[in-house]
Amino acid sequence: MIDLIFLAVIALIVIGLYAVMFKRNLIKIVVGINIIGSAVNLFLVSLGYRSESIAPIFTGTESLNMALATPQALTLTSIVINLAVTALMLSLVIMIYRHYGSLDTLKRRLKE
Amino acid sequence: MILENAPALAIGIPLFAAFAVFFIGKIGKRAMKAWVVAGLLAAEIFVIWLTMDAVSGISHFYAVGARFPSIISPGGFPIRIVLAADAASTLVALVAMSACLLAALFSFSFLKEKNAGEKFYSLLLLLSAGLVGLSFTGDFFTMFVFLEVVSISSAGLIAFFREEESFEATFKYLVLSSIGALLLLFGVGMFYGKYGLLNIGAIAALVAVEASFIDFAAVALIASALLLKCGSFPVHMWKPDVYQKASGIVSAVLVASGLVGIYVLFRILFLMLANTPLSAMIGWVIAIFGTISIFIGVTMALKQNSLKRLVGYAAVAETGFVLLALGTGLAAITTRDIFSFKAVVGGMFQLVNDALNIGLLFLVIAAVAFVTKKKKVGEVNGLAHKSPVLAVLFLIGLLAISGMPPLNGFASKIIIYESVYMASPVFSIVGILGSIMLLAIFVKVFVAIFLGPPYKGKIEPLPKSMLLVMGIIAFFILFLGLFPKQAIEFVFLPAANALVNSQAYIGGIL
Amino acid sequence: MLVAGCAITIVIVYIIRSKGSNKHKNSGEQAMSFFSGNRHPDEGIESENLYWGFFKSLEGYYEFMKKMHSGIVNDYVFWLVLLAVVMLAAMALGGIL
Repeated sequence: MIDLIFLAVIALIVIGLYAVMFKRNLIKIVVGINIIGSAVNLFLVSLGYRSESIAPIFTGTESLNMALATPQALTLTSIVINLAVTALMLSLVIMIYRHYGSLDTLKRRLKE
Repeated sequence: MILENAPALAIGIPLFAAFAVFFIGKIGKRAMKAWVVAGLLAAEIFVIWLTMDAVSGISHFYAVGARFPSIISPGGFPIRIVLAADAASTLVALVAMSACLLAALFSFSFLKEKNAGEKFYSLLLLLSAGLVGLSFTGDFFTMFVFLEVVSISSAGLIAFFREEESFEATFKYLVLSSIGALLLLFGVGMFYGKYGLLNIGAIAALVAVEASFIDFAAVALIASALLLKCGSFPVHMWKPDVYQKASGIVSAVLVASGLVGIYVLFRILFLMLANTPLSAMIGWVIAIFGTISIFIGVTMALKQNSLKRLVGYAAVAETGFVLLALGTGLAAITTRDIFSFKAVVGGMFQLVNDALNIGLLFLVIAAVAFVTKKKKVGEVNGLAHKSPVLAVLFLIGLLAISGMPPLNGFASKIIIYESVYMASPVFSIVGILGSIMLLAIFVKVFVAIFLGPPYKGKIEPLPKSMLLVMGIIAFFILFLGLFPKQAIEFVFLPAANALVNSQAYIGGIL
Repeated sequence: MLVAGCAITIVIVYIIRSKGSNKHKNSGEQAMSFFSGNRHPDEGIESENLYWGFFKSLEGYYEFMKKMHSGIVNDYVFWLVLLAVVMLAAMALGGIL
């Protein structure tokens, strides 16, 4: 029985890729990339879970059965990087709107 | 004492300089230029020292925070971030660092009228730190972090001069590279879920023993992300857009970033697929992608009107040559044929030549744009009468990229043709035809810009720093072309050895 | 060996150049580009029209290429997903064969 969380990760990635591949508004593409980023973060955090484990904090803990802390650190790094990329993409969307006048991906000028 | 920490310092010095350049810039422009050159030159000296050691057989495996990389935890696996500086990774780091240093020297006179200041050099230093880190890293997660550092700083540099369409090119680049990096992180997560390790050497040692489909699926996702970074056939469309709208200086550095991507891809493939039948399949797939890249690159370049877009398509074709050579080497590595090793040597040689040739072409185009003050370089004609130096430099770049004998393109391409012919004659024939068509494309460009009736506009004199940088690159092109045997024995043979020999890498880390 | 070759080349180049005439003018008819004896049109023929025959014969291929390099971001991401699928399929097939 596959854990439901991996199905959720796959579903989120498919939704994110659908948004990037088929939607023509630039902001929807940025939202799609965010969804894919969230799905990968969810995947990383869920890799560290052991059954019946608690948060990996040592101070005042009752049991020593803790979830792994390393993937949580990796996820934090990934969240920060995705934040920076989203901020950069949104500022580019602002400049594109200022120069091109529309947010449609079909109105591009660099082709062939 | 300082030299022991050379791999970490080669990454740390440009990183520190990138953030400190804002404070130094408040003192004055000369101080900022001196600081930038000092930072890049210090890192370059460290990388040169590491390369000298590596090609004579001493590979440095540097553990961050411990004396030896093999200090293990009670569970029995390495717990440190390891930086691996063996012959192949130091060669690629040398190419990347030299490209950034030469681009910085070139840009000093170029940016005088455009008030670029500290932000441009901060991004350039950050990009150089990211490129060196990406080539030295021995750990999957630091690979993801440095890959994103390279993507974000390249995006900042492409959109820097705020031309209208450069935002569109940057947006496409950023969308593609962030989805690629997220696919890579998914693959890294799959590896972590199965083994609990992130160290590339340790995972490779375990994959050799217990392989299952999950490992190879993770390698497939990581390989697709790195193929996107280098611009091979199915995902090459961002390359002409980006190279058209970035400034000539930035394009010369972006070529180096694509080549670092190819090195990382083949390091992972050679380590993970070492003795499995999958190496033949994946090697053939990449060789096919490389051949189609060559064909698409040259045929689309023939049709272009915009000069930088044309050189961008030629860059796609040159990357196709490297992929073809290294893919053939990977495909035949298990059968231990002699031509498979020759193909890897030719691939590493072509990698260095690619950076030199395309870099020189972009720098000459930027110099022509600077000297004639025209936006579209295609409107210039007859420049050779007034500026013969630029014509000679462009001629050297043209002959080198199409593989003419006394220059370096010929030396690497003849090795590629000979070794790929043993694997499959069709790929070799497409390669030869691609080189001839590159000659056709660039002769047309050369005649259009440099020959003809004399140029009627005003010409500024060429600044000394630009001439020095282009002269250094032309000197290396000539040197590698006139003495290829010594260059191969001294540098490229150890580099190919280090790339192919997975046991040396794993043994150095564990 | 290399030095002797360079010296002989320089001597031969000097001999050939000294046989030329130095009555070249930089303006007028001598500076215009050669057009096979026809009248020189002021505009209309550019260097991009040089390879007309090549483009005409590969017309279908170029139509397909124009559609592939359309410039739309969504198509580019589609090619990336297709690449990932092809690599996964190659790994699966290589394991079976």
